[in-house]
Amino acid sequence: MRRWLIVLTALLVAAGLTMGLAACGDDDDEGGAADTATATSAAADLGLLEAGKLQVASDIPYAPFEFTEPGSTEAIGFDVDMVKAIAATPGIGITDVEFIRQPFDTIILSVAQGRFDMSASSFSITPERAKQIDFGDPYFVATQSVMVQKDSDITSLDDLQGKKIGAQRGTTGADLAATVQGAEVSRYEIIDDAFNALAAGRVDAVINDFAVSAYAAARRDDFKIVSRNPTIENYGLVFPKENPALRDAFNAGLAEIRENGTYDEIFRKWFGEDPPAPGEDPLAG
Amino acid sequence: MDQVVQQYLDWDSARPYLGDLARGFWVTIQIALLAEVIALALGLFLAVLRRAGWVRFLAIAYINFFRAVPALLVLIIMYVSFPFLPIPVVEDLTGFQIGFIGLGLVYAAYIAEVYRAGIESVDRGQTEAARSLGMSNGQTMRLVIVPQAVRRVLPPLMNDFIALTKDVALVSVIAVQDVVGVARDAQAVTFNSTTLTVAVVFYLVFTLPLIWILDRIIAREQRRVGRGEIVAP
Repeated sequence: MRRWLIVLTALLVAAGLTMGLAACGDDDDEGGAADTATATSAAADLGLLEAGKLQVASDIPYAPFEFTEPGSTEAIGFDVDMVKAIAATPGIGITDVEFIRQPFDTIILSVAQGRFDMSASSFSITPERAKQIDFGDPYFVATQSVMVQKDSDITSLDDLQGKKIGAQRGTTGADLAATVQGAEVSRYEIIDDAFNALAAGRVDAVINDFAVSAYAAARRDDFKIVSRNPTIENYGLVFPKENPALRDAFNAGLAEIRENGTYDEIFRKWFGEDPPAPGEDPLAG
Repeated sequence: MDQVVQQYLDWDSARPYLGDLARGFWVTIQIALLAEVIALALGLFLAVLRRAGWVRFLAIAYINFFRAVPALLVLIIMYVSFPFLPIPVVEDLTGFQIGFIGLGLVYAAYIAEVYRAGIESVDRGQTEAARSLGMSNGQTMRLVIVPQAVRRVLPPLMNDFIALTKDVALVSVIAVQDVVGVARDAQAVTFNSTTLTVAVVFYLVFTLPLIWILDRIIAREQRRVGRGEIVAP
C-alpha cells in the first residue's frame, strides 16, 4: 500500500513537471517566432505585449459580432473581421490576431491592467467606461431592445415594471434594466444564458443590444423583439490608456477601411444590408 | 501595489453597495441553512439505506454520483432543464430554490459518508446488546446506533457545513443575488473590485466563528479521550 502510494505520487509529480516544462517550452518557441516576425515587419512600435501579435480580449459568444460556429473554436463575426482588416492595413501590418475569450464584465478592468493589447467586444462608448480605458473612434451605431417570448403581451419598456428582466452583466442593457421601476433584474455572465432564461420563462424579457437580439430572434422561432430604446449608443474598440499609439493607429486604420469599402463589405457580410449613412436614424425602417 | 490597493481597498466605491451586499449575504445564509437541512435529512436516510439489504445499491449509486459530479454542473443543469420538465412544482422552481435544493442534494452525498463513518464506529457490542434485548433491526438503528453515531460525527458535519456555505457562491452563475452575485454586479458597474473584498469580510465574519467553535469541540473531545473517559455517552 505504502509503496503503491509513493509510486503514484512520483508519477503525478513527474506528469505535472513535464506538462509545466512543455508549456514553458511552447512560450519560448512562440517568443522566438514573434521576434523574427518583428524583424521583417515594417510596422511602427505599437507597444504590443508580444511583438508581431495582437491579443484581443472578447466576450464570446455575442453573435453576430464575436462568436464561434458549432464544432469550431475560431472566433468569427463583424468585430473579428473588422479588427483583422484594420490590423492588416499598412499602418499596422499585423496578420497574427488572436481573439481571447474573456467574460464581458471583466474586460474593461483586464485591458486597463494591461493583460491584453486591446478589446473588440461590442462595447458601447460610455463616460464611465472611458474613465478606465480609451475608446477608439465609433464603429457601429447601436440601440437597446426589448426581446420577449413570441406569445408575450409585453410591448414596451414601460410594460416591464415589476417584471423579471434578463441582461448580461456589465452591459448597457443591464444598466437600462436597472432603471425599470420594481423590476427584478437577473444578470448573466454570457448573453446566451439570458436568452436561455427567456426561453425557459425564467425572465419575462431580455434587454440587450438590438443587433444581437435581432440575430438571435431571426434564428429561433420562440422570440420576438417588441421595442427599441431611442437612445443611440456607439460601439468603440477598447485600448489601455497607456497605449495611445495603438489607438491612434487603429483610428487611422478604421478611417482607411471605411474609405476603401472594406468596412461596408464586412457590414454587408454580417448584416445583409448596407451600413446606415452617417447621421441616419437607425430606428427608421 | 498602489493599483491593488486602489482596486480592492477603495471603500468609497463599495459604500453605496453595502446594503445590497448585506442583503446578498442574507441570501447566502438562507441558502446554506436550507441546503443543510436537506443534506442532513437526506444524508442520514442514505446512510441508513446503505446498510439495508439490496436497496443499498441505490444509496451507493446516489452517493457516488453526487460525490463525482461538480456542484456547479448540477446547479446549471437543474436551472436550464427544470422549466422544460412537465412536472408540477419542479418546473416552477426559482433560481433561489434550485440553489438550495441542488446544494442540498450534493452535500447529502458527503454527509451520508460522514454518517456512515459514525455508524460504523459504534461498537458491534451495542448492536448485539440491543438485539438481545429484543429490539428489531430498525429499533436498534433508530434508538441505539444513530444517536451515538451522530454525536461522534458532529465535528465533520460542521466542517461540511462550512464547506457548503462557501459553495453557495456557485449560485451566482444562475443569477441568484447572493453576496458574490451582488459583488460582481457592482464590480461590473464601478470597475472596482472592493465589493469582492467586502464579500470576503462577510464570509470571514460568518465562517471564522464556526471554525473556532469546531476546533473547541474537537479539543474538548480529545481531552476527554486523553483522560480515558468514554467518548460516547
